[in-house]
Amino acid sequence: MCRDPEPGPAETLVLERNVLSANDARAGVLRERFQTAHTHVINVVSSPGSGKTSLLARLLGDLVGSGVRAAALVADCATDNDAVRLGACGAPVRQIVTDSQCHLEAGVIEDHLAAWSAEGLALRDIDVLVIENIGNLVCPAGFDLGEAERWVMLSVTEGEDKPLKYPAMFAGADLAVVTKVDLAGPCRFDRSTALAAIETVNPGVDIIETSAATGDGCDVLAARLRDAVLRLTEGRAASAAT
Amino acid sequence: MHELSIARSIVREVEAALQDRPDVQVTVVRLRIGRLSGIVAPALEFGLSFVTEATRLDGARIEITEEPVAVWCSPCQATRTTDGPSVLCPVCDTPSADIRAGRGMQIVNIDLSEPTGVPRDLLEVADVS
Repeated sequence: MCRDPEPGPAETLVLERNVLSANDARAGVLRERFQTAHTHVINVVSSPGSGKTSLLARLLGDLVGSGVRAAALVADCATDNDAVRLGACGAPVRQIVTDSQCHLEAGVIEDHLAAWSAEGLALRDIDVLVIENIGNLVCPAGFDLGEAERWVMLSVTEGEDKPLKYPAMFAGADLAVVTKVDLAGPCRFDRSTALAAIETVNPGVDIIETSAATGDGCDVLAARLRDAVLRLTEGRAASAAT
Repeated sequence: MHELSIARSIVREVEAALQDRPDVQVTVVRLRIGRLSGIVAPALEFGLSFVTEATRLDGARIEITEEPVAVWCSPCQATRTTDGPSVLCPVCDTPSADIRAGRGMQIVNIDLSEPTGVPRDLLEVADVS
């Protein structure tokens, strides 16, 4: 039996549509909600094992200790270990278990904010929301979560050329945080090569060198967030006055 | 490695664009993938082969064009296409933070087949006999 010849295209439909437009739209809505609630949101990305959780635990502790209402959403493929570590300082923390998903999307953040809201924690009661993304230097790069700032972390135990190997992630960051600087000596970390690599893919980006073990640089990170909160508080006062 | 969820987004976007066209089938999907988008073309094609099953993109050919990275070079006062995923100006070697192209992922267009009016499963049964 003869097959009919394959029919030619009836028409070509031009779409010119961004594949991530659905996520971008939801992230846009989130960004407006964060601005309205005067919540400063940071999206923290890095490779696994760069020391995100240790540093953020210390940072959250500093913020809570100075009266900043900080909270965190922390994502991992499995376990709630990181939520336990981050929550030790008393800040509200929710674990996002993503199973096999390698990045966070705006919709997931919406769901967890709704869960918080159902538990009585409103966005307007949070000054700083830290979103600790999945440890992955590729996938989270394309997914906007509505954050005000994206922080990328690079530990001294990784290669100095990591920014050159993962340019999309480093190029899109608002702040580069070098972690575990207390281990720079044993790791023979070449500081100037690493800083030059960051500068090459993201010229002019702020760089803060830190150690969760010694506390180096943590005060600078906390001050950066307190400044952001102060700006938002002034904005809140101004909008209340009008 | 999130090509599978990107593949799902592509199917969702295409199906959404065709919601008023219940009788057409997609034969070709043309994509433009930025060099800095973090997407690997073969992995995306692999993901699409699964997630298009039982959708109107089932069996569609996937054509992927790579979008090179372009940056605004301040010293040159020009937009430059760079080498691979680099953000260095190829002329003066200055890095640029002003990325003008190469991060996106677009569905450029799709080819649609003639509406046959005959459900696909009936056609397949006829072919076997």
